[in-house]
Amino acid sequence: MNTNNATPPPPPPRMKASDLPDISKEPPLRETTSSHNASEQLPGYSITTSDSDLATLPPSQLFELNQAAIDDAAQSPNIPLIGVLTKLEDLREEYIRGNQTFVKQINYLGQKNFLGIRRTRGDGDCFYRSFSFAYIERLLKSSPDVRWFLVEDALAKLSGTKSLLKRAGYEEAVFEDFYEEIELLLKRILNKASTAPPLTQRGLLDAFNDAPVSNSITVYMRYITAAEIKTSPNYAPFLFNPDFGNEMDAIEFCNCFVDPIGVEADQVQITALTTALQVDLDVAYLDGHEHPFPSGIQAQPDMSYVNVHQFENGDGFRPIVLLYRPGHYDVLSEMSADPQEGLF
Amino acid sequence: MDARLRRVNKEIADCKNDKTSKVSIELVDNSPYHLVGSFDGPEGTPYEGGHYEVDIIIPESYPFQPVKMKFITKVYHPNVSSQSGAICLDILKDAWSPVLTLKSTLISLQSLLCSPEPNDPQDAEVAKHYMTSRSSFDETARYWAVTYAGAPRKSEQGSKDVDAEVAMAGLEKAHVDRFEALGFERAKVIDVLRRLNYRGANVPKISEDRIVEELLK
Repeated sequence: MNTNNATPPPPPPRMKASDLPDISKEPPLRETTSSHNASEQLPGYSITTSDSDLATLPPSQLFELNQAAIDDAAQSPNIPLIGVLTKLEDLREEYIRGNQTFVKQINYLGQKNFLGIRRTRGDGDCFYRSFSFAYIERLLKSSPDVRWFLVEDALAKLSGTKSLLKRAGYEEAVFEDFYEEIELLLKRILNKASTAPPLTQRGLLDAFNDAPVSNSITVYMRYITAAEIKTSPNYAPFLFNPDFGNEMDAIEFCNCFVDPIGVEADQVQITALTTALQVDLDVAYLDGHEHPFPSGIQAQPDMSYVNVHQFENGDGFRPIVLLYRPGHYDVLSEMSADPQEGLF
Repeated sequence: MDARLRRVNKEIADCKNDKTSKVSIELVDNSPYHLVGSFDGPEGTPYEGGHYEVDIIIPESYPFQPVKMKFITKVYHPNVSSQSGAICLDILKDAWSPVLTLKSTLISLQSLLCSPEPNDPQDAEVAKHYMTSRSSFDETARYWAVTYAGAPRKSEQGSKDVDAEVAMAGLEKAHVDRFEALGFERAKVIDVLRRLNYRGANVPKISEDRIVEELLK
């Protein structure tokens, strides 16, 4: 495991039946007669803004928060699988009435030149989808003089994953359809696909919002992850059931926590995928908690430090950067909006 | 050709070419999205010698959604509904992954017949029977395999005087006869004894009064 930060990310929220509030014994959340303003004067009492630390909330509000998160994550066709680039400031606006640590952490990311965010649907595939989008986008946006080399290199590494998958027991006849979708997008970057036009930023976004294409790519990423875990002895000490904490063997772990669609990725899965593809990835943990600024970084009053987990695999390229909020991944960008997208 | 059709065609062809797995898939009404799969009951189980058919529906977003399968052939098994053939198996639900195929899923069903999971039952009554008395359960499962799945009747069974309804419910003929003699309808006696799981080590635990009380309901 080559992450250089010892602090694990907080676990995503999980619904348990025992968390359900006893409705009859709970006071009403707010007076039905109270005005909008009145509820604003009760910091931490609104369910739409998380003004207070989660631990201090009564069970009924935790339940509501969970429900809201689940509703957000629901596979509504109105929420794109992956969205256009939007300003990180817009995300800041959502927290401005809420937990100020989030606001200060977003300020810090802004100062680090992260101006944009590309939101992914919260369907449990968000890590794999965000990662694969950013992986291809990074190649698409690479400077023209090295693009050919970088894409060919990526194609060679991806092609190598086919034998990795076969070694892990996956049938080529089954995974080749998924592989071909990602290969086609990379070939389109170099205008080497006979059946499809050269890839544009918009074309990439469209492909990732076309469910069969998008899902093919995300499941292929899952199988690379699982094949890496199954074929390397390095992961065995880290394979635990996230719900019960018991050790699991690689096959069982992958059957439960890697292969099925909609199952979130954790640190082991992220390490395995980035290792297999030899890609550098930074994950910025927007966790809403105050962390001390490391020595050498000047603390600033309107900013709060953000832990960044670096998955380093020596690809000698600028790392892909994802934003993690508890239970969810999005893509971070140094651009606040894509000029090309405006044309369509 | 769309991805779902290409995938299903490939899977059907793969099954046809594979003579070793002994799993077969046939089309129903020429639609590639409604199929019937079949396999033999595994050796060394009460299902041995039986032939099992499974109804297969390929959903719209296959393979990103699990295939829908249920037994057409009636099966006496804790994880299969004895009424509807509905199956309780994780890979048909949230453990589904697009790397699973019709063939591998049918093979998983075949393994399910070898290793029931009574703690995660589809049919609670059958699961109780399984937990209470394995030998009585095996006899009943065997009787179902002979009756519904075409498994051969063993010679000693053939000569034995078997009451079909009683054997189907996994009960003892003597128990049914006893309560029938009290003046209750035979079908009702079978239904009550089956629901109360009046089998094996459970028999001494259930009083006659309790049974009569149920019979009078």
